[in-house]
Amino acid sequence: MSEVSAYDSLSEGILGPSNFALVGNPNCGKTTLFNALTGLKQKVGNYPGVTVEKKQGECFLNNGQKISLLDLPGAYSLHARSPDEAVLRDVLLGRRRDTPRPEGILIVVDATNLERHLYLATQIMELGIPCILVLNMMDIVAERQMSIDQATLSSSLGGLPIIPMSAAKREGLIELKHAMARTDIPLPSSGIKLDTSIAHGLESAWHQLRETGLLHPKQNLLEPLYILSDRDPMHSGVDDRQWKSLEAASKALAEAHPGWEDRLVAKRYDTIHSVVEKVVRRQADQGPTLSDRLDGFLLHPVWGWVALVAILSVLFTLIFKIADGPMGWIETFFDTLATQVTQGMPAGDLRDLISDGVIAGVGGVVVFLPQILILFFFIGLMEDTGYMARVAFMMDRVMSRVGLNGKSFLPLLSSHACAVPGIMATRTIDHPKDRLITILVSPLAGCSARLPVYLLMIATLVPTEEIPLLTRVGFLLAMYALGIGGAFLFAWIFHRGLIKGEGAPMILELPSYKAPAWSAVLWHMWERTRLFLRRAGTVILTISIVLWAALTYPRSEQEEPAMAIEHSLAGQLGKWMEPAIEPMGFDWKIGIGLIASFAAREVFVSTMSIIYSVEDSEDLKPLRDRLRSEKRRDGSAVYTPRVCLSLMVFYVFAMQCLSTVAVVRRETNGWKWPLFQFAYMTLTALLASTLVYQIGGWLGQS
Amino acid sequence: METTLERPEASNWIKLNHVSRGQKVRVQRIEGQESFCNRLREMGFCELTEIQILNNSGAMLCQVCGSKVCLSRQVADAILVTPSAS
Repeated sequence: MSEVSAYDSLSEGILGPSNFALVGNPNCGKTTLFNALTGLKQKVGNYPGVTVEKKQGECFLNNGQKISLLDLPGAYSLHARSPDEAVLRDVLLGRRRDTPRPEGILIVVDATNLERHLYLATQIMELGIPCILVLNMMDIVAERQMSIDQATLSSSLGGLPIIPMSAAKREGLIELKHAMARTDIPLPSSGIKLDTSIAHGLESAWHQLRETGLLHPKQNLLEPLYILSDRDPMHSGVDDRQWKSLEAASKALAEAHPGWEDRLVAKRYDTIHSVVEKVVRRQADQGPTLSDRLDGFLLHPVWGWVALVAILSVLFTLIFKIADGPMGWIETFFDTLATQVTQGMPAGDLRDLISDGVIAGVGGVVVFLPQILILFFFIGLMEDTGYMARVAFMMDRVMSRVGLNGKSFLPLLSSHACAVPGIMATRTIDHPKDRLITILVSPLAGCSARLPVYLLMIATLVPTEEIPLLTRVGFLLAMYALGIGGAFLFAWIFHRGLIKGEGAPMILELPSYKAPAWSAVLWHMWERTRLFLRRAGTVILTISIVLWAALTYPRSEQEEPAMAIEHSLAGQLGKWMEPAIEPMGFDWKIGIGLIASFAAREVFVSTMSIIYSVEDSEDLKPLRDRLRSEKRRDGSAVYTPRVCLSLMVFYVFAMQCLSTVAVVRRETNGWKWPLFQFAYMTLTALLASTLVYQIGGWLGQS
Repeated sequence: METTLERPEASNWIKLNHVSRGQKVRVQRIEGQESFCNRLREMGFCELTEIQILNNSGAMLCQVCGSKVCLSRQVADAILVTPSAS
């Protein structure tokens, strides 16, 4: 490249760059380094307008200078393909108003695999920003008896400072901080030599782009047109005039040198190959690494599946087993709290609002925290060790049948515990359309809040006193299967027609396995949980209060809670909608239950207890017996098998979960998709349970 | 490396999907939209690069450019290869 200035204007100051961005491929150890530098003193937020995590932190250099650090999303290329990569590109080009262009860049590469990691690194070196190359994972380089000639590597990249280190072992941090304090970090050069004709063509393109201000004077991007040609209004700072000149330059270059872009990619790789050949010395074939041997087992056509099923079974057992205790404690805590309020405050609406509205509502959501925490812990663990990518590999063939890819599997699976962490886990899906579809169908997976309803209905449905285990499991499995089937069906429908844009078949690098960094896993778990509590909590609180009011007002003189609820707005609503839910076999009392469980499915059971004046307890039997003896006006039983089935099917499909609505709103940045989701799920639920009831009628079931 | 290699006849090219486990092949052509092809190239699947199929029990797992990359079947369908000499 022609322009290699040794000094930037920054070097004239007394201090070096005051902010650095960390850039690198996924799995290069960038986040580990970020954590090591900032000591977990970080702010995690969102880039406005997109669901990409923005991680910022601070660190002090050896000279006492305070530096702000920005951990940019991992990427393979500046040519963006996902929202994550678009954020990386736009921040580095200075095109995001919320984030200033960094003054210095730490390029983090996996030293054991320079061939791949130098690709993005050389692109970054053309940005005209001082860079430091961090050769991470040098401990593994030593382990494999490789050696890297750092002097030659530095000189072939324009004198770029190189710091060998191992972020996981915290080796080389002092040297890195020392280099970051330098006032004379040179501008690097990717050292890629182009064929003269293309170089000429590019020269004029550069000239045009610099003139319109689209390209920074010091930028020497090899693929400028390619990188700049994204015109997404969300993140691109390209105006009409600039766009015209971009198009003109693009056209001229494409006409003069058809296929120039792929030749540049090849050229980049050729150059990197020859550099790597010069600087990296490897021991002759060392045989398969530990990762290779693990993959031989974990990706084996037979044993791989056995291992996957075993790991997931253990995961789910743990979620339910470990979470059981703390969930009980949380319930007891909120119950005690409500009792305290009831006893301590004078009777009145305010007291009821606090005990029955606020405490019960918030408690109903917080009770799922143990499950959410455990699930996030395991997801973090699987991601951190590298197993998650293997799961995606294994599941890709199955998921692609319905237009999704392997990365959608884990969010869908997690949703069987709770859709909230499942939906938050969709952030690992890089393609927006696939992510949206996964979010939309995730709540169809049978989450644990449906269990109480299913169990009550099965108990009512099966005429014997004790339900045989097989019968119960059979019914439950049928409900889960219906949910999964529904999720796949709707994924297929959405993929086919409803949502525009192309799906992205998976291209996924499988990182080497590594021991988990526990502090990072725990941190990740806590961050996710905190976000859920803060954002979802406010919405949940509001709607809990509204629901409480609907179940309370207008007040009646009745002392009996069952009568009071009948008189309330929700009770009247239940009666009013009775004709509408009659085709499903429901009476107005069930209608009240549906309204009350609008915020959380499991509330159905406790509402039914109130309506039928049965003591709410762990034991379902009193309520079951009450339900079995309930009669319609004409004397026939209300809870016939087909009503029970119809009700279960309703809960399979209906989106009776406020936390999910809140989290979908948060993850999709607006009300459009949560409302759509609510509508399609509720309509399906109404339709499906009507079908069940009516078909049951034709089949002669009472 | 490009100059020393003779490119085999296009009629001998096969889809990456049909390559069996353990075989080494050389990329000849990538079919599809420009941005899709270039992303594959950026991941190391450049024309004339040698890759090895490590596993095809789920998606296609390839050893390319020093690391393991897995491709959906639809992606592997768009890559045309020839058996490598070795």
